[in-house]
Amino acid sequence: MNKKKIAPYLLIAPVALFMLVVYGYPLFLTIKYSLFDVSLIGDNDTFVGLNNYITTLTDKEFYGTFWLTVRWTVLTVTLKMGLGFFIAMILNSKIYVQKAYRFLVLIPWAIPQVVVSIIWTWILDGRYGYLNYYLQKIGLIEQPLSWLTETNLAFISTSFVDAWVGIPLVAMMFLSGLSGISESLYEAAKVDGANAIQRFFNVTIPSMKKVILIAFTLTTIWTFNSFNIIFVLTGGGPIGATETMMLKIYREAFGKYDLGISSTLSILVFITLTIMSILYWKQLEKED
Amino acid sequence: MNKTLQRILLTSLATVIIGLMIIPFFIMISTSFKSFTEVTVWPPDWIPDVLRWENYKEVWSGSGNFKQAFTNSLIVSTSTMLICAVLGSLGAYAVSRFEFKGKKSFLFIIIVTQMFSSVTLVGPMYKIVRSLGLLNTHIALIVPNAAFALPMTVWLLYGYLDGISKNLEEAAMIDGCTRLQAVSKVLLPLVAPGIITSALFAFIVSWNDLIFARSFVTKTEFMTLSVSLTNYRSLFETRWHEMMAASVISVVPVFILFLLIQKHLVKGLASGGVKE
Repeated sequence: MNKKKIAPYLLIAPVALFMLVVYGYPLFLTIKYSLFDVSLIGDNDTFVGLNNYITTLTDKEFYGTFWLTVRWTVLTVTLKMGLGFFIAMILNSKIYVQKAYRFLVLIPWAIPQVVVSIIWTWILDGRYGYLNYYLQKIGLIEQPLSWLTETNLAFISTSFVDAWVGIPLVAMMFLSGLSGISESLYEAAKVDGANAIQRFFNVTIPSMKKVILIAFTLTTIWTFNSFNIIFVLTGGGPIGATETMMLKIYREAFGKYDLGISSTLSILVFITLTIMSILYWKQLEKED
Repeated sequence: MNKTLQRILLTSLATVIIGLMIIPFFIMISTSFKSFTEVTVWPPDWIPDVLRWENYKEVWSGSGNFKQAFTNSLIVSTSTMLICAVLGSLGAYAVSRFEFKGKKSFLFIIIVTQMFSSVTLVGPMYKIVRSLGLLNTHIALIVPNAAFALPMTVWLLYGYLDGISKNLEEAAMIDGCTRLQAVSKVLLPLVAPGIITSALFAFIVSWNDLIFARSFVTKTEFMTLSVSLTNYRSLFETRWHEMMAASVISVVPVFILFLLIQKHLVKGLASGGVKE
């Protein structure tokens, strides 16, 4: 037996085995449990075929949660991508103390998410919060607002905080893309008489297409899966106004002990994200 | 002249934006030094008159049990880090230095794992942990955290190793070294920063975990920082100064690690998606 041939397999065996047992087996169980009536804490399970799927897909609440998750993800991803791109553009321009700023912008991302949520609970506090004080002071609002206990505001607040955490990484991805655009492309456009806005749309955006696509897909997946921020800020409330799929999956399993339904929801999320990723690969292949 | 003015304007714009981005961080630190009455004063004071270090003492050895939680987090995260560093290095070395059947699928699976949130697997994992009698142990947190940090550890390290030329090891092997000698004497010193970066990344992932820690641990003596913090919040809703002191305590270790690795980490993560 050729030694060189088995060496790589021996080297990846520990990783592969570990992942198979600790990651793969629970994944298999998720699929299995979606076909069973099974409680989180009991020891019995009964095969029910596609019953869980039928129950879920005929439940109005499911569509409510799904739609809410989509809206929440769209808002959050838009904030992350928009502000992330803007910040990357500024950090890529010839500013002073560029290095220091590139580092400072990472701070929100470096703070553990539980801590982030606690800080923001304090800032958004309805009575003594900093945000209410300063918004009143500059005259934008007259009365203090309950940022986390009023349904619409809670929806926006959780999205905003999640964006705050996510922006640094998105900005860094864009920044690495922007710094890869050759200066000569801009010079050529200038010679052709293109102004700054035309240069942005004719040089920057086309050169960034691939990076934007990748950042968009990853950010969408991460945002769709977001849990910690919402869980600590509102716990899904008030009256379900911020209960996204992830919070519902967790509540079904650890609140209602219904692992069957919880697993079914997980599988439906997998399917959604898989379809999205396939579309992304297709698009990426087209670009190449 | 026009150019300088433009530069100053852009820098001011950057200052305002970066300032807004990091204000919450300063609010945390300033609140952590306030007294109970100062916390509820309007307008909010940015710099408290007296720095109350006793807030930290109170939290560290008080009823929130943060000393224990800090130790638990340290044990769990360090163990996660070690598992990921060892397994990750072996795997990354294989994909970077050998051509073999299944390499592409291996890398593909590594990327696909990023799609699954720990929320979707925590239910089945709970059943496994319970049937093994491992609820309320450190190992119940270490192993799942390692599984979720490992793919990224491999990916980061693979990117790092790929940036180092094969020629160096090959030259050493021609000079009569065995592969193991070539790796340990030539490659290891070069790749050390990469290993440290990806290992610390695993540490941070584990330190930030809330889901496993909340689900597999119910006894106070095994709780990690993220759980203690959320519990503390629901118990002492208005004691913001102590909550912020506790927050600062749990931020410090990751923050220091983050400072150490940010340069490599950003490069690795940013290029991660770009290379396929």
